[in-house]
Amino acid sequence: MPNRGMFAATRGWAPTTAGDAGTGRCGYDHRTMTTAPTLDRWPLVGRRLDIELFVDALDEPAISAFVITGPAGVGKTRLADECQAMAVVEGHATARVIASRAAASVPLGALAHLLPAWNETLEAHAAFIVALYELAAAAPEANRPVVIMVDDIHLLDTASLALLDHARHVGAAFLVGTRRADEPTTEALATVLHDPAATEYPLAPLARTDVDTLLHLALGGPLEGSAGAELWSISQGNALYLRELTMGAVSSGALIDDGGVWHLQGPITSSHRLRELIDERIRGTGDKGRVVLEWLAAVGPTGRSELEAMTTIEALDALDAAGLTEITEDGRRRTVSLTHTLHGEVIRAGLPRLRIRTLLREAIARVDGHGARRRDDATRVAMWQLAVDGRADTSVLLHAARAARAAHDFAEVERLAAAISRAEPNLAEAAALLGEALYELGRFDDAEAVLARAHQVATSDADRVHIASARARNQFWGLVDPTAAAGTLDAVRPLLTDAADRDQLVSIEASFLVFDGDPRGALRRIDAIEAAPSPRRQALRALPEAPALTVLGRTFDALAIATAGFEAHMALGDQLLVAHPGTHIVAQALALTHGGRLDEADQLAHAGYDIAISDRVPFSQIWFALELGTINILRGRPATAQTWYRDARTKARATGLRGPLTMALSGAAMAAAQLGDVTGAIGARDELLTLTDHGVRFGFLAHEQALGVAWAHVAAGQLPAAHALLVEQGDAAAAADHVISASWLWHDALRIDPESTVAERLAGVAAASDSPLLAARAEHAAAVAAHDGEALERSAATLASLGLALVAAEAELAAADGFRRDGDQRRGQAAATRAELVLAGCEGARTPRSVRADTIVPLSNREREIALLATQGLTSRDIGERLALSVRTVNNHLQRVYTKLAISNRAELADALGLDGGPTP
Amino acid sequence: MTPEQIALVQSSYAHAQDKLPELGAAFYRQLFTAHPEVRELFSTDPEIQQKKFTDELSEIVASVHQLPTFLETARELGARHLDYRTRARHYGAVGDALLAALIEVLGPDATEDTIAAWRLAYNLIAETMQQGAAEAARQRAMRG
Repeated sequence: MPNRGMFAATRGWAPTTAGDAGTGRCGYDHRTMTTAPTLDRWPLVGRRLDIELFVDALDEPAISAFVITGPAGVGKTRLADECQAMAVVEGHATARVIASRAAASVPLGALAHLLPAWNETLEAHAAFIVALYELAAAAPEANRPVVIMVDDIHLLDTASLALLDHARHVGAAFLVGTRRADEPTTEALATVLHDPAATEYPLAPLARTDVDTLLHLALGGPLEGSAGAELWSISQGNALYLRELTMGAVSSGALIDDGGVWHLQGPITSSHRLRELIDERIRGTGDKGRVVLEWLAAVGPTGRSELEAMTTIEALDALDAAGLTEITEDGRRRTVSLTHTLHGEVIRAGLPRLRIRTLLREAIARVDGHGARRRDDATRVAMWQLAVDGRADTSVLLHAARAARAAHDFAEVERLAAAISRAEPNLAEAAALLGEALYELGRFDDAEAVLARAHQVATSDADRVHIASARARNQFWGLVDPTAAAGTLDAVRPLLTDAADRDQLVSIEASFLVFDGDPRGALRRIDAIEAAPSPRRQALRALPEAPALTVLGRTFDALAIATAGFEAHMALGDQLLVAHPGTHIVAQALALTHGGRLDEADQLAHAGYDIAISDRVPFSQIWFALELGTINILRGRPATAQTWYRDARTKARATGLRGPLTMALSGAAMAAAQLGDVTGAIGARDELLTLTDHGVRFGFLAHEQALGVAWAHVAAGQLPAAHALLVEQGDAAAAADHVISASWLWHDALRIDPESTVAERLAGVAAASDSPLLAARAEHAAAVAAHDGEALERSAATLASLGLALVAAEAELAAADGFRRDGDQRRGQAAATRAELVLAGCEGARTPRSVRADTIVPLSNREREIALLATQGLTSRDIGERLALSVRTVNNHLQRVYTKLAISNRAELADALGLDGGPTP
Repeated sequence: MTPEQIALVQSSYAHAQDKLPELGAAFYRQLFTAHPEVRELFSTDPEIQQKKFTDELSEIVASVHQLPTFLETARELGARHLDYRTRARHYGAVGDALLAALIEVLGPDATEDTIAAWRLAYNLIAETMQQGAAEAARQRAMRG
């Protein structure tokens, strides 16, 4: 459940009068709260240079008018307002005139509020000038021209314009006008614009960087990449569009604030106001343009030569120049399409149904008349036919559905497959495609219903494999019901005649075993796939085998198998229905991570994530984001880890994949805790616990979920509880052969309590594994247990060489304590300095052992625990309650801490411990 | 900015921690080479000036992920720049010089993504500073 509005405060940018909107408070804090953008007025961005040019013009005696010209929505009025505010700063008196069609019918109507009572028009000139001089005399800098802002100057009546022009010529006024570029210019206005004393200032749309900055400031926080790209692509820097789109997306729930980051969760649809804006823009293209736009909206992309037959070349060029259409070249063919689907949506909404049908019939007749010219003409005709009368040529549509599936456009697959299924309910492939699409769209119950029925009508083995694998996947990942998934596969296997088909199901079954927490069972299961080498069997075996081996600590073998599996899979093309080749890359990155090759893992996971984004495969995006979170947490970069875990969390919520969601929540809790963000850590932990309380049991690396819970305990100051949980879950992981999890859990237990007796256990799992990461943790634990400064120093070097910066710094600090205890101040200082250098790259991490204490006598565990809680702003009473100590004991501990740190009070504590900033609110 | 871009700006800056004097020097060299006319705006000892620049940059970069702190810091800095007669066009020149200096000092770490993230971060800083400056100018005018 997205927490939209959960922290939404009502504070926004305070609406301001003329002047800078930046005075509004924007209460966003990454850690605790965000601001719902209920903004009356967005901050001014990207227009400072324009304002400066205006001020230059104002200061220039030879200039007396500054007319801002541009299309609707580009920000002319806003700029003119700001110019007027600057004129006030410069000591000018100001006035404002709003021209409108209504006011234009009354001569001087727009100026009425500036004119004293007068009797005849002749006197109006004189009266107006006198009124202006009075205004000017009262201004801070007396006798400067009154700056008059005229909004929509093209609508101003001729008499008013003549009066203003006169005032300008006698030096009583300076005009700031706004003018719509697409509106006709009256002769009187043209005269003003051609006057050398007038500057016509064409206003361009906002640049892309400015759009980014504007969104960041208006929303009060960062925006996920694809959301920013989408808003840019539709608005093209038009400020009004941008605002309408953004506000519309926020109110429709398409754009949501998830823990301080804005994500696009659904399609951006058109608000009423935006429809008006787009309508207005389309009307501006005239009838000749409109014909083309309607055609493109109803029919879709069309050859340029065909359109030339419908309208004039000039009209087509004008649409292109206006950015409403775009041309793609494919060989010699030039195809015209609407620049944005939103425009198509608005145009279609404004067309009567009958008109759309007529256009589609005409399109069908054209293709029938000319014969098919393009490869996809048959599909296009079938789709048009479907839209006209609901009739479907199923074979053509099935072909289109397959193509949409290959492009991962599951909304389109659903539309097509549903249409086919309505026409031919017993077509198993269509039902399989439909069920699969519903699963991908997160509608798991609908998918189960469709696939259960599809299973009944399947006649070929290929269909049975396709349906069974889709249904089992939906049951396992969507409904989180491993037993049902296994049942589905069991029921189908005996029906299959071909061993190759059975192999596919075995591969899925074994994968489910891995992801249900039984890596050994998975390895036993794949023995049912014949080992005789063939690319197909190799790819199928690798899918479960590589992650299973990594979990068991055999990272070298896992990497080799995943790499070979990927190559074999790629060589097969799309013969395998069961998995995306990218799955092997997920497995490779997993093996590299737990094999301690973090740089390579990071590169690979980044590349994988980018591919998954461009291929639109959310499932892979979630896995790569989870891996990037893990890689960064291991490297001691909790802030970066947090962004990845949050990304995984948002995508897992959006797709309804609750298994991976548990991993994302645990990671998010861990990252927040290591950043000292208590609220964030506890929030993520509680959401995780709610999920598991509701029976969401996800077996893959399941024990690692305790990491998030334990680190949230740490953030809350409950170190003993955290330690106990980590040791307990480490033991459980070891018992289940989850070697890599056991190592991580026990090692974090040691990081929380150096007295922990986990050294031997860590040595045991390290011996069972080939991973240098596990070996380095065991070395660290042994050095801690021996209280040996030199060994700790060596261990820190090992950890640093693997890129585990934060843990390396913790080891250096422990070494520094050890040296000092032994009276070796020099080496103690050197180790502490190295720790500090390493910590500088750790993004503000604050773990119990990374807290610097430049003391001769090191702090005890209890002192550290209490000192940390005190830096979080807890009173002695709060600390006492948390740790079940008396207030007096807490104060005694704190006094000893102050003495050791040579400080006198709480306020100096954070600084003395090397923590940035004060307590988290 | 995306969260990843914020992290990229902060981590690349953390990596350059021991090269801040070089960054400060490179920045002013780049700025004065491209815009010799702004040299007169700086009267302080160059080394002190460079240190001041990187100190201010450090403070702002550290707060990019916490908008309220960031806004306060950047607006205040912008208001101060009103006294230094900083104009809108100078902000563009400073941005170019900063990116060039970063490319120089970060070396192979100055990937396309990193520089793109810095460009956005700088724009956010510059716009907020100018907001602060405009607000300060308005308040001064109101006080007379």
